[in-house]
Amino acid sequence: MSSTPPGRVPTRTALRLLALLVPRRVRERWIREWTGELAHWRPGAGSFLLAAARDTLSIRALRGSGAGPSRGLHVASPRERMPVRQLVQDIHFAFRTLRKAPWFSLATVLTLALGIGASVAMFGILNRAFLAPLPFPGADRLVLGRTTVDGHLNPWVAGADYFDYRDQATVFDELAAVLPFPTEYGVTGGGEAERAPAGIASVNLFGALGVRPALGRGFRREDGLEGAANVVMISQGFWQRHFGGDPEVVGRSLSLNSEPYTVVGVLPAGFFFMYRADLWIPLRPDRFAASSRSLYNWYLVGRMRPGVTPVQAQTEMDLISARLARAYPRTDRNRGLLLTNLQEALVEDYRPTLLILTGAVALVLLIACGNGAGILLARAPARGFDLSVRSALGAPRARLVRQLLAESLGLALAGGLLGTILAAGLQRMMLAYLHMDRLGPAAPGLSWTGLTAALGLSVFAGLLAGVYPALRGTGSSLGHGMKTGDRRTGEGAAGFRSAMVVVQVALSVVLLAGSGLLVRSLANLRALDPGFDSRDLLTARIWVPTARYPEAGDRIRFFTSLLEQVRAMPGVSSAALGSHVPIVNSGNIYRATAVGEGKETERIFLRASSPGYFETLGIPLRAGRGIQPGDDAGSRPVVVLSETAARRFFGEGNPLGKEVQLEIANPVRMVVVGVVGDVRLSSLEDAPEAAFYVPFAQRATNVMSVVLKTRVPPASLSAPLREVLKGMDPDIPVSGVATVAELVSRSMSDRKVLTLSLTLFALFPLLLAAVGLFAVLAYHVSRRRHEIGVRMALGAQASRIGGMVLRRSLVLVGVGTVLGLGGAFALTRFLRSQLFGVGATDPVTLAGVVVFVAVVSLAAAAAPTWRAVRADPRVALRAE
Amino acid sequence: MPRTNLTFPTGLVLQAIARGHRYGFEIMERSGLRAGTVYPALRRLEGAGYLRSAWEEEDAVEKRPPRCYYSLTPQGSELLSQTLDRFPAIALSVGAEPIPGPEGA
Repeated sequence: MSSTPPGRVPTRTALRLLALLVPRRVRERWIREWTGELAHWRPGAGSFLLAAARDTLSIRALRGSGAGPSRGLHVASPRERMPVRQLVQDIHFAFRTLRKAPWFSLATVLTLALGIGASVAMFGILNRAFLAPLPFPGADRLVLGRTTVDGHLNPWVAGADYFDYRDQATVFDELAAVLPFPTEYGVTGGGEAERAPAGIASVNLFGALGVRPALGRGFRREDGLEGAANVVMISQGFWQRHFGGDPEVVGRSLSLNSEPYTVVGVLPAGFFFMYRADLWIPLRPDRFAASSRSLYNWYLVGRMRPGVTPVQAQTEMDLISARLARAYPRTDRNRGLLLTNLQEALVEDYRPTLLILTGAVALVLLIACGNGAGILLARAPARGFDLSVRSALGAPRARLVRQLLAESLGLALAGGLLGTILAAGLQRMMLAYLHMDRLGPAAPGLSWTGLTAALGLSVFAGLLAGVYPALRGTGSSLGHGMKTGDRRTGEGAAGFRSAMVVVQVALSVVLLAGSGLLVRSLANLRALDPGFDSRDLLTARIWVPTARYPEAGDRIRFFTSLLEQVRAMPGVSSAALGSHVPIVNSGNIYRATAVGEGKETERIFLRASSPGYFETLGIPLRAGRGIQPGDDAGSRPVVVLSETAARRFFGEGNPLGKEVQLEIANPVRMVVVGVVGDVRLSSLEDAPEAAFYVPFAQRATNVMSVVLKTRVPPASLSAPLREVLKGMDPDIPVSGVATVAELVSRSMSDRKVLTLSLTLFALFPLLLAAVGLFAVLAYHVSRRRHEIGVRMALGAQASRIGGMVLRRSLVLVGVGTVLGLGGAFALTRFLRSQLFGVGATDPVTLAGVVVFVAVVSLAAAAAPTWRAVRADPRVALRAE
Repeated sequence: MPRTNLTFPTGLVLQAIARGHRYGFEIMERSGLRAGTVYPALRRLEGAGYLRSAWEEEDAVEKRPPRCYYSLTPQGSELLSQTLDRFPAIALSVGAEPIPGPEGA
């Protein structure tokens, strides 16, 4: 007969539930034992259920110890592994401990969250740029082909050369060509009239990339032949937008720039290559200047055959280049084709920026871990007693170390969680500025890889921050903890924290030096005179289809008429045409010689310009005259040289009246009629080069920029300008309608991002250093309160006391600064590629950094110094 | 036989049992240790053969459930004397008189 067990029903039920944790063999006995205890439990003994719960843990723990027969509640079972179980216990205990000290835990978590968050964000960006492969099958075999002239990247390939490479190469499955930038087409028919960006590519581009159409077919060889019917492939987005997702879209007709095209296929969703394009049109020898050997418009994209190495491919390209140079010496001499892994090439421009940012983020993470370690050490006195007791009770040191590491891991994981949330926002901000446009739109949020990285980084941070405090906190001084309380470990902690301040000051100095140099570079660039006046200039790029304007005369007439109409627009003070706008459009490198001077050919930038070009852009005339309306197709070929060109070709002599020869397929001799000031041709940073300005009427290309000098804000004329263009020919693609000032500013945007990011990263350790300095000094003052009281009682001046405190801060900051300067000397060289107008060890910048750090440190030291100075001696003396 | 560390709490537990405080709860009271220390120690010591456990008779009168009580095995006594050599204070800290309560020892 069984008596009714005592205790409330819930407790008994809970007991039965807890019993499920006990090995089955002893479960009943365990329940009986505890039911018996329940009757005699007195409130003062603590929670009954908690004790029972802990007992289940210890019984499970006993199972693990394995040896010996089963006795009582000891169930011998060697199966369960000890370390895992112990780790679970450790974490459980860690959470209890951390909960007891909420502010400390919060401070550590926040610091680590910042460091981990920045690292995860950076990792995500790096992953996208370098690690994650392009979304094409076998992407590692894809290469980008670009022209080199005398070894310098030019970079675009002439159409006729492309065809030769394509026909002669054996190392590729496919070699395709693609226009490096989208062009706008006027679209009518099928839906609303709109302008859509289009990509021009050879028929085998999608084959090379390994992209299969979602609907219909891809391009075929026949589509790329002269006189073939016009076909077009459309993107998913365009299909939805313009055709409403019509499943019968294949075979429908579109009018692109007034020419009929048939839709043959729809590209898969999410397809992106180099730029956003709604339409893809095949390259043909009779279009887009594709048969020219002297107009350079194309990037080449190749898929290497399996088993072909990059070296083999490059060698074959060099062979073909040599053959072309021999066959066409006027145009192809000194030209080569450089093959680069496609993914690398697409991110080439960002590589230095990303690497610098990664370095900075790594430093930030280290600082956060160091700070975490400092905070953990500051807690050491409070833990000392607890750890001493546990050690006396027999816990081995390794166990205690593991316990402390579990705590720091717990903090780091919490910090990592918070940091991951931060990271998503941080990454969005950085991507918004980094313009990694060539890689396509970024998937929002963090990927699984990113989350895994966050976890890994948190564990790493937790271990890094926790190792030193754990080892230190469980060292030989542990025995003292029980007897003397906190004296010894407190001192040690203060020493470490002082060291941390020094390190953080040093790191701040390094990062601030870097950011200071970048800020000065940016300021230098902004202040730079580009050689022309970029204010109040509006520009648009116009591409005249050779299909409808096949003759040079047709194009000249079109552009001349355009110029007249634009000049008549209200608010326009002058207007001109140019094949290239300085800084905005680069490239177009040719070779030329000075006739009769006996010199070698030189590289020059060729520019076709209308009359009024120099006046509109504010380029000063140095000698002779500019381009005039009389310089047309019927008159003698003339050229205006830039100052650098004049110097290179004719030295200090007067070049006017002398002749130069442009080395193209049919070389042209031109008379020098004027010299103008140098402008920055391709970018603000590159030194001015030799430029030849020829009359547009004597070299009528089909792509020109119209430039307007306005009396009113230039942006206000962009709509009227579009109207004029549409009125002339609604089907002519227009792109790049913007103010020149903005385009120039955009060319600096990457640099601005880097500068901003590095500055932010530099301020973080400085802030931590200031806080750390404050804490160290405050601790120092409070420890010395008694001593200060004695001194003041003995008549020491307040200023001496203050001086004592300030001296300590001076030592810490001074050592840190010296170390930081040393680091700056060593490390800023990595920024050299980004610097402009300042050396990597520019003394003015470094001096500025030192002053800034000193000011911040003084501010941090102010409060403790003030406290020390104002201490009441009587109060201080009483503090024992 | 698995090793058991000769620790202070282990000694307190053994001493308490030796002094006649045989139930888990009494051991807690006598030694001042927490449940989280006492019960695991009891399990360990029993598993290692230093203690044996038994169930008391059901009390027909008071109708309370049977409790489990512990006693020292010869090995346990041996362990106790070793522990007392090491931590003499144990003998002083665990008294012999039972704490007055509803039930006697």
